Amino acid sequence: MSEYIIPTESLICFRRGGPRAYSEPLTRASVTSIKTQDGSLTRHDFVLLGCTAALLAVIGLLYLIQASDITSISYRVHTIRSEVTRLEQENSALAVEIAQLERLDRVERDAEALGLIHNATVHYLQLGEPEPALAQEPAPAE
Amino acid sequence: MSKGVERSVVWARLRWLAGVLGVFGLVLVAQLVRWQLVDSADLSEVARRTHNRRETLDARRGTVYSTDGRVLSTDVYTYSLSASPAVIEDAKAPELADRLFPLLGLSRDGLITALSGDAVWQPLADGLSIDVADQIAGWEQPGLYLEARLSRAYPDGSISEPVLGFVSQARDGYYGVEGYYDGVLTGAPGAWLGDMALSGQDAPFGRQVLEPPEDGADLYLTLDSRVQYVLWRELSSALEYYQAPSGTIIAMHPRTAAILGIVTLPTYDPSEYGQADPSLYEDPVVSHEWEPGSVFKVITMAAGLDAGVVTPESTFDDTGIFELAGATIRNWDREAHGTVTMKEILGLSLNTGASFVSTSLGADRFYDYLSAFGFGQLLGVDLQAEARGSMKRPGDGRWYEADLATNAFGQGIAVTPLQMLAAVCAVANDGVLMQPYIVEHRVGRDGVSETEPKAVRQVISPETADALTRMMVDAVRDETEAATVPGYDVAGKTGTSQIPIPGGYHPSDIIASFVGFFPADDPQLCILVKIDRPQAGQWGSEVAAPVFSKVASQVAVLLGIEPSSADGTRVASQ
Repeated sequence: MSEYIIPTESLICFRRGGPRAYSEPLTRASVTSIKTQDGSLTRHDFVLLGCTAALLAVIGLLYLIQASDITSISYRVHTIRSEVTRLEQENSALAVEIAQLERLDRVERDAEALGLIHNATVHYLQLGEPEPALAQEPAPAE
Repeated sequence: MSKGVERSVVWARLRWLAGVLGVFGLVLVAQLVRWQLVDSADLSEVARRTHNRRETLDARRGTVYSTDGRVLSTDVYTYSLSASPAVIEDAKAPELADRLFPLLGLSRDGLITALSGDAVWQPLADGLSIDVADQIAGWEQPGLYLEARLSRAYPDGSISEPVLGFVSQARDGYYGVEGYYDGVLTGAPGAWLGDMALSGQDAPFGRQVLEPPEDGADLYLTLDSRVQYVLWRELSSALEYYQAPSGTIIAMHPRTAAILGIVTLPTYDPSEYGQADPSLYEDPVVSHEWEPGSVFKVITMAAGLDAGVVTPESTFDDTGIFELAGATIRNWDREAHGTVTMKEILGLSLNTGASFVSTSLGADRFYDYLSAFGFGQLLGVDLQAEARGSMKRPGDGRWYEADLATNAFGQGIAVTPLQMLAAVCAVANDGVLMQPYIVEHRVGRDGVSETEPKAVRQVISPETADALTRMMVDAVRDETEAATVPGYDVAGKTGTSQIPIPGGYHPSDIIASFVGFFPADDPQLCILVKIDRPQAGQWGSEVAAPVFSKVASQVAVLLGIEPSSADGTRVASQ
């Protein structure tokens, strides 16, 4: 285990287990934080702060990306929903139009315009039982 | 300042500060109590409205189809157009009016007035088609707003009216099928629920819930659109030919009482019900009563035969007059026909003979039979606003003994056309009265629900029904040639009824009718024709019987009803 030899008069040290006599050598395990007496940060602190800031930035970026994606998807859903509604509206209008074009009075009028006439009488034919078909004798082979 | 004085000043200030903070804390606590306990519900609602979006999704009303699959009524989107003149520059109003007036069918000047000024909102047009709405939306004109809404469309116009009824702007069904099945046709609206950001857009990570609308059930009617059209066309031409203001034709399957067609004229276009005469809303077939006249003799004869008081060959000495309780009954031709059989009474349509049968039965038995045939009560048909008819009985205070004689030939008793047809269908159906119905099946969220034909009761025996059918066939063959249908034996009866007015009957106007079924040996179709107040023709045999013949011969082909050959056997149609 490596030792940190730091002038004790220039440090305020916080050790695990509470303050002790500063004469004891400090080890990495026994030091929880180190701050210079005049309040300036050490390089270690800068690294820690930098990592924290980077982490926060990544989290923020992820949040923004996700929020942006959701907004984009939400917009697409809204657009597709509008399109579905629109197609349903068109479909219903077309169904009515088809039914109107199939109106029998219209069909009859168009048929008459084409020169077709009503059949005045209907004849029904009564068919007897069909005659049994006679088997043909096979032609002799030549 | 000594240390003691300094400390007391500090404590005094601290106490003062603590007091102020304490009061502030109490106010804060009181406000929290008010928000959390007293105004909690209201504030929650405000928050919900502020942050929650609720977009209502309309449910489609079920579509009504004919049995052959044609759309009779359905929902369609139409558009209403409104404007905000405050947003539209006055200088642009004429140009906008030029583009709008051909599409909307409104006057150009009226549109310029509507589009100018400072009004915030101005409705312009309603019921626009999707094509017109598309065109207007394509202009992207600020200040013009289109709103889609569901409305009811009836592609056949007035042909199937008033069977269908109509749907009001509030989306409620009235009359006919729309009214009777309103609860089935109407669905439940849905909604899009979601959390809303302050911008008014969907909040990221917010809740988005779709409550889908539940569309109404579709109805498939027993009504055949081809049969319906034939009835409509023949009734239209009959009213024109006989100069009659109104009329009705009903076609029904006698074995099941499934209604194949109902036409009543005049009628209205249900998509424009607001412009129609409200008296046309009711379906006369189920809602209006009429004194049926001689067609009712079929019922009287059925009762007499079934009770055994007469047989087809029983005789009656017709002196031309029948008297009962001070009432004198005369025949339509004012003639005395001497000794006649029951078959001849039906064929010659003798009022005196019918009165003889009813009085031979006695009042109790006669009216019991009429009740069994369904008169004076609801049939239970699935069409809205059904009437009971009006049948007096001994003991109800309105009945007089003379009614027994007059009711026998359909006078002094009021029935609906559907009641009359259902009763004659019972004769065609071996004496079993069936409940008429018009919805064959419905398709909804719960699957398919079929309507089963429902037998109400056995009114007369099959033997009586058979004997009466033969009497009716003879009556048509011997006395009403106009009602015959080539290739088929038709059983039927004519009717010429007087129209009651205050103090008696109308001196000249009559209602001509014919009711019959065919083929007599295996009835497939039962038809009632009723022509009101014809001016060119005064008898049922002259006015209604030919219409029956025309309708029956065409419908027989449409439905593939096979004719009988000369020896009475059925032949296969080709």
